Amino acid sequence: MLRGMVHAGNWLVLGIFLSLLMVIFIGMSRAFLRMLQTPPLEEAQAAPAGERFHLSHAVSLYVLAVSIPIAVFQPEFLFGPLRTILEQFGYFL
Amino acid sequence: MFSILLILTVLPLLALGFTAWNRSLKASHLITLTAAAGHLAATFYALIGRPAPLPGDPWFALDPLGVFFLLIVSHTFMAVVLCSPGFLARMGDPRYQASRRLYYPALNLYLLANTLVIVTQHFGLLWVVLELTTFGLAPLIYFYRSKESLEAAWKYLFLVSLGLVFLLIGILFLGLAAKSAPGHPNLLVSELLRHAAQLNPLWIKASFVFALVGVSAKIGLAPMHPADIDATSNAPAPVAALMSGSLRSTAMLVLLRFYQIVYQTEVRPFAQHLLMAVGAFSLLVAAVYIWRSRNYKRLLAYSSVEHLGVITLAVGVGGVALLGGLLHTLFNSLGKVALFTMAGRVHHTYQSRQIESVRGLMRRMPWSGFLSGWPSSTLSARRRSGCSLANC
Repeated sequence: MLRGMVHAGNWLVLGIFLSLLMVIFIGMSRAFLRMLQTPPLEEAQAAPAGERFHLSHAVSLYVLAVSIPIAVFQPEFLFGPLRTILEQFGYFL
Repeated sequence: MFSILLILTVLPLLALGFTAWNRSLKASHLITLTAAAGHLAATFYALIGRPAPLPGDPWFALDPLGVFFLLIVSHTFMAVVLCSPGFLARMGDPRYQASRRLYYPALNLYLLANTLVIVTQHFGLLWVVLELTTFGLAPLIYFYRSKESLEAAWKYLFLVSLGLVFLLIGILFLGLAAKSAPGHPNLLVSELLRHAAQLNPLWIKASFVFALVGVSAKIGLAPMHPADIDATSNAPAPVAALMSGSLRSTAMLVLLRFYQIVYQTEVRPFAQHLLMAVGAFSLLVAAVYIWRSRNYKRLLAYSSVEHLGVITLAVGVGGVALLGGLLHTLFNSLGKVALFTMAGRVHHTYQSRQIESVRGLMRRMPWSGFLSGWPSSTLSARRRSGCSLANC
């Protein structure tokens, strides 16, 4: 995406894009880190720590893990249609 | 090709009929799961086998754009169906009985409507089936039967339907643009693409503006995003995952169908600037509200506004950025399924949607904590690196 903006010479768009993403990234991290890493509230201290692995965890793990081989190996069955779509919009990979 | 289209539409239709008639949740789940698996298999066949297109100008067809978005919808739906029994087991309270009964029929209607949006090649019919996705979703948003969820469901119905009125005007303008072209092409995508150079530029420009405003409510782009935010944050976790993971992508496909035609005309620079402006504005709105949000489900809903803003911006920039935008659509859908599913588990354990009330998640719920932290960080990293490793 950044490469597309640089190629098109959209420096203003690139600047706005990166600045806003930085603000959003910090905002999201602030909320998530607070939920993940801070010590539990007093009333929750008594609650048992740990959690059993559930089917929904497996599904979530799968949908996240599947994105890695797609990005690394760029399978033809997916990138073939993507290439055709890009050609319809005047870009040849 | 015809048999694939038949499988893709008949499977959810049969599942809808069975789940509406059947009263057993277990049987409904099994039927919906079978339909989802069949749908996913047919999608992979269409993706890998690339069946030959139907001859002539069919009203229903699977073009490369459609196949790509079908993969997103089918994958997201399968993940949500797999997580559904766990969610419904947690909703054992008698006050949710009516909602539980409606859950699977509404899910199947949702899959059917989304599939029809993807395979429809006629703009008039596209409008009808897009409206169907709204009606399929409303009972699911009202699952908790609370005052907030009722308000969110009505707000969603009203604002999205209002947006669809704008879309209808956009389609009418597209018809007027086609009427002025020699040969008077009809509203089929292939016909309009063939005659794109002869379409009236003024009507095309007006059509694109109205279409963008119209589908913005469904995509969740600023300033038409409020209904989507309320609906996503008040809906149950699997429904929110569907909304953020696939419904917004389907609406983005509708916008891309318009853009496909506009791209071939002299209106292209105008459309590109408009898309970049709307995308950047959505990013700005998301940046403000992500800092102000105290509710983690609303936070995730604003994160969707941001991601769809990024995708719209990438479509406007074009070229290799469009590839980044398309890949980002896929990865955002996958990430959102994980995030909303985990948000549902966190909500059930902490009995609160407030960020302040959730503490020590990694200690108390290590799996959910890990899976909540991973997608949010990887999505951000992908954005910064140009959406995926494929673009590096």
